[in-house]
Amino acid sequence: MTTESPTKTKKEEVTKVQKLYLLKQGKSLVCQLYVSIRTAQIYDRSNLVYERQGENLFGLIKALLEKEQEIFVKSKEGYLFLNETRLKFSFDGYVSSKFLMETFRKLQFESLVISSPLTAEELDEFVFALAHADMECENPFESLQKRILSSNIQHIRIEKFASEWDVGDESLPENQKKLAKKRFFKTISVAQEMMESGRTGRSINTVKSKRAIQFLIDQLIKNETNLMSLTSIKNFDEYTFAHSVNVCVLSVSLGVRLGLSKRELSELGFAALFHDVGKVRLPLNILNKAGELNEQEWEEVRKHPVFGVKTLLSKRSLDRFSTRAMVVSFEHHLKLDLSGYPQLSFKKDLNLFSRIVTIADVYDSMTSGRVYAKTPLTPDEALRRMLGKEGKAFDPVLLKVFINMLGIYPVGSVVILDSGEVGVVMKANPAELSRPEMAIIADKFGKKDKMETVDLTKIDDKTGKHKRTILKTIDPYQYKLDIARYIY
Amino acid sequence: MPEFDFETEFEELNLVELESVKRLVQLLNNTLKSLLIYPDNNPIPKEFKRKLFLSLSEFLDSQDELKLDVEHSRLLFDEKVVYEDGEKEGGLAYVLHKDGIRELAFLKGLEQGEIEDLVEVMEATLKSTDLEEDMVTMLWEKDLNHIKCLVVDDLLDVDVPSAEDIPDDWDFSRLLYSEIVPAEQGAELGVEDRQDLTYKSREEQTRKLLKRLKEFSPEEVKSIQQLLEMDNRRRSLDGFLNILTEIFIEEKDFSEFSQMMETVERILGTLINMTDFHSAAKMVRGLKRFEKMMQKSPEHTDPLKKNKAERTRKVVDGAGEEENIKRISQILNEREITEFSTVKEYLFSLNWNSISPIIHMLGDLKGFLARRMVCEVLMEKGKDHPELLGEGTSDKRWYVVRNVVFVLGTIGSERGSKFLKQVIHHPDLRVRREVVTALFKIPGSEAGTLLISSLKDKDKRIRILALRGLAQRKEKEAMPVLMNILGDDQFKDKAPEEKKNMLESFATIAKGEAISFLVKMVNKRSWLKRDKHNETRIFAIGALSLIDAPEAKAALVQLSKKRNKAIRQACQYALQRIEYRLTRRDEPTKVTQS
Ligand SMILES: [Fe+2]
Ligand SMILES: [Fe+2]
Repeated sequence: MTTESPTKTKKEEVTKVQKLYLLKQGKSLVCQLYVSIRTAQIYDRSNLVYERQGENLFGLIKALLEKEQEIFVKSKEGYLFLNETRLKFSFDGYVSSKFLMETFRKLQFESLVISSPLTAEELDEFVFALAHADMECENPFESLQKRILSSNIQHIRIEKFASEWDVGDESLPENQKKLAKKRFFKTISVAQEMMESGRTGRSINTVKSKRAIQFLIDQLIKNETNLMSLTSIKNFDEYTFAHSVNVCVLSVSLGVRLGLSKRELSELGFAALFHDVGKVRLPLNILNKAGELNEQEWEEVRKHPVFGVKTLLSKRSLDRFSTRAMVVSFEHHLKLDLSGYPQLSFKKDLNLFSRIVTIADVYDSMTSGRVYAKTPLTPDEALRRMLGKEGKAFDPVLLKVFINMLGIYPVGSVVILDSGEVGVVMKANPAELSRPEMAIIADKFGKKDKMETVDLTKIDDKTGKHKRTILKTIDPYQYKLDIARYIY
Repeated sequence: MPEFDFETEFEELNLVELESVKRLVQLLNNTLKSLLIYPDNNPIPKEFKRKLFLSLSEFLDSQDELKLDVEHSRLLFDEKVVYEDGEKEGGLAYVLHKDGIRELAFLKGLEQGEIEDLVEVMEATLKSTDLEEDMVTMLWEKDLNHIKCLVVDDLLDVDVPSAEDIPDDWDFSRLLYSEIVPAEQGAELGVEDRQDLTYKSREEQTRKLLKRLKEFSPEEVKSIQQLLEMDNRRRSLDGFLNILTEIFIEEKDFSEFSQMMETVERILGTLINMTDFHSAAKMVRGLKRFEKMMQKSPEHTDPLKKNKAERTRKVVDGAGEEENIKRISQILNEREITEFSTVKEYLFSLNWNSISPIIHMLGDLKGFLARRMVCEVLMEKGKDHPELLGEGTSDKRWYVVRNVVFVLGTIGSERGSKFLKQVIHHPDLRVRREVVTALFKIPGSEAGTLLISSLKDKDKRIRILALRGLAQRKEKEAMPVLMNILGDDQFKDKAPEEKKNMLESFATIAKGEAISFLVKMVNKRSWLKRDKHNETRIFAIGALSLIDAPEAKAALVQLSKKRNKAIRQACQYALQRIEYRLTRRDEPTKVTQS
């Protein structure tokens, strides 16, 4: 045993305590900022509702400034930092953090610096400046900056994102999308490769798939929309493998919301990617059968969860990835009340990862075409159906987080708006689940040639009401619409 | 004014910087080396890690970042070589490079924990032989904020279909089906059904859904937190072992079952190689439970179940066989393992057939603590199988025999005596000593006889130990033998220590019956070797004081009137001892009060 020098231990202790403090206060700060900005978007400054939120925020900041010289909130690579400490959010604080990062991104600033002696007036001015900032103008950062200066806000400043060449091309939206596609298809090909080696009984090297999953996770943490929208395209050539990747993307996104660590996320991603690996052992005539399966064939199909375990078992090594994946493969057709298959003798509950993957799996399957069920459900319909089964089939709270993540109208939903236009949902809005961003693909006369992106939270200045609201979803299949064209 | 040479100054600054980077990398390398040499928890690697952290922090205080380029066998800083691997493969640079790392950077704000994580990952990579152990993955999972690496991204060489490539005709016949039965999910909707769901009812549903969706009630938050905590606590292997059992139960095809058992055997081997003895133990216990279940089931006549039970038994028995247990000794020796609780747990879990191989571990293990652990295992496992343990007494290595004897003694089963008999004349004194000590605790006449026979041992120390053993057991059978020896003329020539012990043991065993014999001994006169004789007399007086009877006290009072001053004094002392014993007997209430 060594005895460490007391000074060092003390110093370490101090930083540890400070870090814990920052983690806790940071979370409250982000949540309070979110609430304050949202309230400021709806109410006047003199309104009691806002006043209370503004006071809360001011109190929090004051307390922080007593301990820290300044408050430095930074948004970087999908995370928020408070004075260099990375904040962690679980499902309850997730919306606030995403909202704040989105606000930063749209207004083109990377960090927010607050210093003493801040006055309550300055803070209110700033919150209202953020709440009503024009995000669509030519130069949102400059215009916000101007407003800060003209309102005489002296103790809050914003810092612009580092210049483009510094951040790299990756940050450009088009490149992000391109990259996401590459990751997506690479994962498909890796999954395919692994499944095929499972079929031939060759031992599987998992390094490739682990790396592919890491890239997916990094992408999802930074920006989940691009990958999520890819999962809504169901007509890729080899759907089986795309299905695996879809389930992987959806599961990991749910995991991110739950605040899982990277280590857990990669296990979850791996397990989700190979949840159906047991299918490689099913006879091809069943796998490729075009018509309805008979009872005997179903009997075979129901073996795939166990086959999955056997396939993964034949791998050379046994690590936490494969044990997790085996559990998920085994359990992914079991419902929360343990009905479903395979047959059980002892089991009393389902693994967290299985609960997550089951939700992702059913959602993706329901929204995809099946040979025998000719019409896939629209995404919102699928969610509604799943919600009807909550408590029996799915973990109700996880399902709730899942729907919060996808929105009521998930990416890829085709909807009719009260303006008479038809649109495809492009991006969920965590703050308002029924008001996503969307692409208008046809105007009220059914003309299809123009495509415009709109935000459903936008309010018409004249009427004071939302410009557009979703009336209902439609089945793109019935209308012969190919959504892939719009979101791909 | 002298001209200031900026260029030279600048170059010199650079040189200083380069040198300190070289030192830092060397320190990193030495830290790794120390980790490979010393076992976990040794202060030396700890100190290295601390130094590395302090030096790096110091560097980063002035430089903000330290970026190293990684090449196949060397590291570069600012395009200059700062480190080169030696001749052998497996150096610092090689290890980083092999998994695709091309740049390693330390950033300002570096934390001690991050350095420990980095070094831990590098150490694991250097030690591991597993091809699937991926350093990039491990580092990535550690999610370090101030240590970044640039990795070759070979995952981008993929054809991404263009939008036109995606079929737009929704040709479902080309899609492989999903195995999810719509009816099972309550999603079976006929076409009419879909049209029936009117816009209104949908809107209604959506609104309801919205209301409940946005906020999470405290119960809901709690339920998720519980789920996450449960998952954190649960080791991934537990869930895996549970599902294996489920599959074993349901498996209808014996050859499939058998194949899985082969896999299980392999997994057990892997777990042991990874020194994950805890999981291995869990696995074995699971298998044993399963075997029992197969045997216990009412349809025990079911041949499949019987076969499954037998096959499972084979796996567990196999784990306890010589070569597998030998492998464990090897691992414990090679890896200098010092924490044995899980090893113990694993050895416990095995069937009794493992006892002999485990005994052999006593011969193979280098560490004393490891051998003690094995003894503890044997004490527990051998309880019902002293015969199996007993076989260990015929081992050629004295220390194995001695440990086995120790275990037999601790178990204290009468069935063990016959094996002790075999080694009671073992050439090694240490073994004989252990045998006699073991006989202390073993009941039955055989053990007593053996102790008596040890009175003839050629080594005085063994004889004395045997005497103590006999006294402790109050072995009546020993009385005639002892009287024989005591009565012998040559007795007085024995070493004082042996004489004293023999007389005292005799008194302890014979009690009242010894009094007249001992008095006679004190009264006996002898003109030869008077010193020796007097010595014997004094020991006999001492022995008398051990007898808890009024007659003994009376005898001592009588003897205290002897002319011989030494005898008188001895008697007085003996009487004091008795007195003291008596008062102490009256005292206990007082003692507890204070
Ligand atoms: Fe499945
Ligand atoms: Fe699936």
